[in-house]
Amino acid sequence: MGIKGDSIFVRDITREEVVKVAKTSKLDLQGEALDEMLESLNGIMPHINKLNKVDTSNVEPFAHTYPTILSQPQTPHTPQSHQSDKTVETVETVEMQAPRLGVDAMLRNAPKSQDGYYQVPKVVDS
Amino acid sequence: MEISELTLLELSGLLNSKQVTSVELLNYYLNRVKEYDKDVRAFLEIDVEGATEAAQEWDNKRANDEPVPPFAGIPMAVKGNMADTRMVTDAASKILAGFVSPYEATVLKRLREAGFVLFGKLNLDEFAMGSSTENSSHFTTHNPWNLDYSPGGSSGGSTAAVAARMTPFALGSDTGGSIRQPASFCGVTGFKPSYGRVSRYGIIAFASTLDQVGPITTSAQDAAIIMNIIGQHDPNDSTSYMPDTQAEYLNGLDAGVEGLRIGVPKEIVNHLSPDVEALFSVALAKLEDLGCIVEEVELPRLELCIPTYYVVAPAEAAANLARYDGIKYGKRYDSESLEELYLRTRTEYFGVEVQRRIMLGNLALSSKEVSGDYYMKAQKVRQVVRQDFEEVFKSYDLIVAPTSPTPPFKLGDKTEDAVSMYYSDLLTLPSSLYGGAAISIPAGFNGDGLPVGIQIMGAVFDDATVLRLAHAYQSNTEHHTCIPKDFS
Repeated sequence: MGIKGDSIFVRDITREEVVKVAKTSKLDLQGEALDEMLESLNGIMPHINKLNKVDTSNVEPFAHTYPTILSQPQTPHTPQSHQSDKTVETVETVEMQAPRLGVDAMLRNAPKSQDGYYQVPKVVDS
Repeated sequence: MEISELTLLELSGLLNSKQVTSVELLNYYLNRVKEYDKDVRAFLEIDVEGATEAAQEWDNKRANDEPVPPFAGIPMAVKGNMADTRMVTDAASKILAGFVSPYEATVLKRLREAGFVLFGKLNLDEFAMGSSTENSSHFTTHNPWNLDYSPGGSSGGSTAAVAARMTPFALGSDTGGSIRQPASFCGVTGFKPSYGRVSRYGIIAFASTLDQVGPITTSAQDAAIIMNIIGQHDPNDSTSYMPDTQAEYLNGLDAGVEGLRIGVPKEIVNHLSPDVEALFSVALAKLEDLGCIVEEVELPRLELCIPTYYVVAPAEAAANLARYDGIKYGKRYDSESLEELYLRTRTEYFGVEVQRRIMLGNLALSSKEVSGDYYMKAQKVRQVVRQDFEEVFKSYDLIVAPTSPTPPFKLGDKTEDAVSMYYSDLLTLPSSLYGGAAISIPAGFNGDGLPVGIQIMGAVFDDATVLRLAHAYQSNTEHHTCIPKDFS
């Protein structure tokens, strides 16, 4: 299958790029762990390249499960039709009911806390 | 009849007619766990005290003839990524070791209010990332049909526990097949509801546009019973579907399937192992016997679900797992500097597969120069896949395929090769990507005595039709009633 209009260019990832992405992922990959990650990611890349089999030049990216499904008209041949043409309401317009849990409950799982705060290493030099 | 062979309706009947008490029922299952779980290793934790207390309360109410909900006093166990407030919820990750949630997941609250008694948490692949439970940081779960084999994953603890009848039912979660594939491997019924049907509030997030909670049961009827309780709108989940009326999954279950139009994707043939293909053909013949119209359909982009999923899901996972920083909860690797603390904590306590998916996800979300913008490309292909399925659902009520291209694999067989593990999800990924309901039901056994499941997929929010066909099939077959011989 030929490369189509809006193809992406998937190539092997370099060692430097893995180091960079590890840094943004807050993972400390070095030595053997880094080599294994590089090899494993580059084993996956050719499969991602298969996305190029579809020309998606005029396709809107997927954003949510609801909208297009529910704007489909009812299908006449299925009496137990599942689709409806109404707009979908989710809870963004409705107040959430989640309880406020309070400081003590939230700190109970903290590895370190002091005086009602999470404790972290010093971040600002005096 | 043994209690382990009973459905939820039958158990409810025993309790309500006072032939058995809730405490007796709980002890029956606790004894089975004691006897069998040393081999299966499905349970991460058991809360004998809390469950006994809850069961006793229902017994007292029944003894005093106070009104109780119909299923009050039936025990249950759930996957270890669902928050209750008594047991550890660590998603089988070292990074959450010892975490006890300050609040309860909506699904657990609803089941508790309906009378179910939570007694255990079940094993899973770390953060639900995996297809075998071998990625659990605790231990590996074994398949009750043959202990050398994987129960599947990631909800392998849940499906193994139900297969060995160590709990009447369990909850699992499904992101790309994590309820259905292990249900198929363990010979039980596993239902992934349409995205938005079941609240995700209190479920440890993996990939937020894909994650759904669902029941793992011994029948489609039991799945419908549980869905009636958990498959309702929740204001605490912003993606929770809000239908005009209370969702109803049980009514119409017996309406029959005469004339139902079933599409079978012709692209699957090349991917099936011979034993799965043979059992699948028998199952299709049964559906025709029941009056369904079975026809081949084209889904030419089926195989592209794999690269699409393995870009979209890791990208969402990388974002969701950024919260594990060693500060707010979970484990911390003490260090002099904050940066060092983050790095050491996450590197030390995330497992290899989780780190791989975080890397893959962040790679996809990196600048165009590095990633080639394949996150956007994957979201466009996801749209095309959805359109393909919508097109089929214009002419067909349901799509049927095997759940997994292969029967259960041996433990250790696929751990070395991530890509081959990813390909075992081929047939479960589509309904995760387009958001529809899908169920795996047992369809027989291969020559090695291992279970094989078939999968029924429906359009988005057509959960009822999926359950109806599964129930009709089970009303005319007995595969779902089989219990592994060492556990009967």
